[in-house]
Amino acid sequence: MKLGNIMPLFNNYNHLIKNVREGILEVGHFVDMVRSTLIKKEILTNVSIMGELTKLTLARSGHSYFTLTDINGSIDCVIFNGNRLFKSQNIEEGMKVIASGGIDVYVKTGRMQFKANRIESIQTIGELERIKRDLIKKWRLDGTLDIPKKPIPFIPKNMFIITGGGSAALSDMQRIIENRWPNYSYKIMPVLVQGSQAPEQIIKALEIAENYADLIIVGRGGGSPEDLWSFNLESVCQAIIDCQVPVISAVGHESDHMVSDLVADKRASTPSNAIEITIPIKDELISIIEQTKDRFDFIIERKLKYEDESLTNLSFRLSSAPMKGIINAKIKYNNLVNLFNNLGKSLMGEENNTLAKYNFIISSTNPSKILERGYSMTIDENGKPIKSVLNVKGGDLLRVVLNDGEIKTVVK
Amino acid sequence: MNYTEKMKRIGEIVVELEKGGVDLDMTLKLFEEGSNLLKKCQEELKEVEGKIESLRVEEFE
Repeated sequence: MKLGNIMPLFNNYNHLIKNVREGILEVGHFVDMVRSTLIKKEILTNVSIMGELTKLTLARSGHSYFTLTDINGSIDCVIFNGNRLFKSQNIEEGMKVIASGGIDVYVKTGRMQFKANRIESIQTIGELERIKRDLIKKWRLDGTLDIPKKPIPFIPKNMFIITGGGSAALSDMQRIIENRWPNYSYKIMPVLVQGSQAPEQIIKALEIAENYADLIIVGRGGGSPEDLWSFNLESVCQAIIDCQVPVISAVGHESDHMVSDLVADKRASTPSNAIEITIPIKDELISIIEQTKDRFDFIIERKLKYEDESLTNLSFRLSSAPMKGIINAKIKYNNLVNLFNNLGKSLMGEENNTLAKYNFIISSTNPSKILERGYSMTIDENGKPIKSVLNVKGGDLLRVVLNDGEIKTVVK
Repeated sequence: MNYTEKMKRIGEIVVELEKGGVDLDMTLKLFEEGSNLLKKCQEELKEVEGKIESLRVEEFE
């Protein structure tokens, strides 16, 4: 098997090779060269491979032989003295396992095999999915999923990002933040996001960040379901639920739906998306504020102008409005004055007429006026007018009144 | 009475006076009321204008 063992063979056939053709290798030599090449590669000799366990043989010698298979390939494996590993972990055919070790080639047969030193079973994806479903169901029933979501602050002042240090997801997020808001200040808490230590580190980071942050983004980039599994764990999700600060869950790709997405205050489809929904584009924001301010100024200006104008208008109208009332009052007064005056006039006119009439009557009945025209009046001694001859007898003394004096006379 | 209500009342007074169906006593009474309200409105508007001026925000640098 070792090179030394083959060389004598090589030497034995040396003359034959030369006879046939230059450059032709002996098969053992060739296989050995293949082996040497393969086992020099670190990546092939210290590696863990995952697949379904088939064709398991636990040999009497204590060695374990099996094949690892997935849809794209398979490889024979061996674990020397491995039987106890299988027995202690109850590993059986059909399970999904991870074997750690390296490649080797058995030169005698040219058979390539994986020489493992460790094997562990992992729960099948089906089982993991079941656990995830059960967790979601439990939290749906006990109301945990109905706990009101905390609002995401507009422009967070103390944003903490919990994700893989040096990861592609982190550098994507950093780049997008810088593009949207140059010199925006935030904190990064690097943690392991996969493997056995990941849950503990993520939980610890959440607990620390909670004391300082006003927003926490926790997540990682895409990966296999197993890689993302920390974000389906009850312990990690419980830490997100317990966090008093709003948390954005940003795990994997758009199509990955984690339990952490359900319990976080907001789900981002990817780590980059978490930044897009959190950090506004500074230039856009400034432009919106300026536009709003201009519109606001315009509206206020217009409103003040309108109020000013209506006040001036009302003031003008009010100042002249009483004129109507005053003019009306004056007209009424004047009418009244006229009425009064006219009444006076007509009263006086009537009085004058009456006066003239009376005057006429009086003047026409005055006896002295009649005497003036040559008439005379006869009265007796007592001054009583004599209206008929029958009222006198001979010898009566009468007086005849003329215009300018009296004549005393005796009836005959 | 707030600013709008005062303005409305002044409007009513003006219309009433302009119609001319009001006697002299009432004309004086209404005019007095209208003038007082108008004075108050002018003061309030001036105050608002002053406040708005003091609330104006600086432009971005």
